[in-house]
Amino acid sequence: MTITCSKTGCLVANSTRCLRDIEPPESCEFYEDSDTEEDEKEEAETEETKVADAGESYEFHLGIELGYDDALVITRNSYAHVLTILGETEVGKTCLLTCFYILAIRKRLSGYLFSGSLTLPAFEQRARHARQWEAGIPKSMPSHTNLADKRSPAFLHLQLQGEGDTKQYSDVLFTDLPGEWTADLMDREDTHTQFSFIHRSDAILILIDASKLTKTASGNVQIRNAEVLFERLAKNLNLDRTIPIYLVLAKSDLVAMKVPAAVEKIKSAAAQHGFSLKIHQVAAWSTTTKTKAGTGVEKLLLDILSTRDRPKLSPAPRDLKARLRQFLQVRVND
Amino acid sequence: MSEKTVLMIGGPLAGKTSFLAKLWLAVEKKTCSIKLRDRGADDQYLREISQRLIAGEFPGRTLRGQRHSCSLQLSTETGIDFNLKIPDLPGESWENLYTRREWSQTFEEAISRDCTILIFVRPDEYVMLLDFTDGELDSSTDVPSAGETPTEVLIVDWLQMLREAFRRNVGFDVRPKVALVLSAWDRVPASAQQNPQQFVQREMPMLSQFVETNSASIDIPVIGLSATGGDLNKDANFKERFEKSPEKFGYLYMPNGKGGYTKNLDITSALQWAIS
Repeated sequence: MTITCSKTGCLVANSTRCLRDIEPPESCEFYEDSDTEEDEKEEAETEETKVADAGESYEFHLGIELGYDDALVITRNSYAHVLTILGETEVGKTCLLTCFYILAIRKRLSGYLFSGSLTLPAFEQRARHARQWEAGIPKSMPSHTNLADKRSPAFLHLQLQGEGDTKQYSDVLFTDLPGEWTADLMDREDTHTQFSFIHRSDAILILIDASKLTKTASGNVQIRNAEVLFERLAKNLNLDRTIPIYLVLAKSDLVAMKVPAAVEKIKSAAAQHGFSLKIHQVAAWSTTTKTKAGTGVEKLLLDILSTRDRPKLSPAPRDLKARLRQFLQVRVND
Repeated sequence: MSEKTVLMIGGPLAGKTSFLAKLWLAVEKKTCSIKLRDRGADDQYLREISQRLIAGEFPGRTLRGQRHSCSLQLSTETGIDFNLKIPDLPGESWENLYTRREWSQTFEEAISRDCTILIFVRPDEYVMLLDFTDGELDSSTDVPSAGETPTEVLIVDWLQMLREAFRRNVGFDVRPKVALVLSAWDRVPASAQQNPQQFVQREMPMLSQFVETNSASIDIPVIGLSATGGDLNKDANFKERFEKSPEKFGYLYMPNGKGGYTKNLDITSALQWAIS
């Protein structure tokens, strides 16, 4: 479609903003849109190149993030590890997820082979940000998670096969939550329904920017946020204390892979609520030559996957929606 | 008489049409183990692409908007008659399957116990998978543009969708036969040509892992194919020799069932595997 405006000086075609500030711009009397010959040709070509014709179409799995219903298909067939990843905006949650994916498909996960994924296009969409280097290596991987359904979590899926004698398959479901979810969890008391899925977690990863912990002011904020987060997990969500919690020190390349002293205060805050933290340092992305991108990520994932003591949960409350209740109860029947 | 369908899948210029042209040439000239029983009424497209090959040219790509469904009535050396349907679609159609996530009734109905898939990929021209964790990348690294999906990702995605289609139409007890055909195999150094599977293990770790870990649910042999046996565009000497007797050129490296490979000058041996 081609947009034009006959009003002199109006750049609506380029900026979508009407010179006369009319909202929406389509309602302006000078606004025009039309299908050009080029547009029609492009549209016709698109139609011609699909592996489809005028008849009925048959769909495949969509390849995008999974909701509860899609995740259930996986958890019904076999036991699936559910990893909940929490952390504020831009701490590197998506980058870590992408790194898990890259390590798996590039055969860099000791003892495991990549066996498939129902969310390949979704992983690729995230990995694509790491491939846009026209202006040199970026300082971070620019990406922000947007959920299709803002009230339900989204999961990314990887299937791995152990290289041992048993050749056992492991399905792993990673949550991909926007940073706002973690902020909501800390700021609001009424998020327990939104976070119901967390009780199904085999591990919870809490990402904190390691470089912020080395400075007094930002470190204090991080410690305070962690205190609130553990309080919410304990009191509002009544989280099972046997679910392993990993404190992931993201962007550790910026602190030369050293554990900041402030981590001890965070561990104490967790212990006050009965949580025991496992500390991991990672640099999923790196802007320094001293630290390789991906450092610590394999170790973290292998540690999570090696956890054998899966806690048993109580049956999910009856008042939860059926699909969510089913999702939670898979573990009980395991 | 059984009816077999062979689906050829691959991106643009992956070698699907060259294979089909060479196949037709071999069948027509009777230089292969598969015999033509009846040329049928719709052989115009096959004649066109094979004539280009006889003239010393690669048949070229199937253009956007074109689709050809070839139907051949053939019989094996041992006298088994079969009808072979080979739809030839432009590579863009298959690339679009990655984003569209649907296909037509024609393809859905083709999926049966008698359907075999050949996935074509060029070992010298594919979109590499960038690994930002390997520590050797810098801003000068030749990376795929944002719009390009790495070839390994496309193929694994196709394999997963094909398995889904087989399970939907045939059931969970079937083990689909999906050969990975590395076309233009003559472009690979001679020392590496002996074992196409090793090439995939070395160059395409994602695909290689998928093939290894899904061998119980999909039969995925790796085949090396050179439809012409050399480069008609860049090697003038070869082109001259080829033009004298095009039916004599071309070869396959097929798994020999003993963990190794055998070079086979009969290009239809891929079809023998497909219908077996």
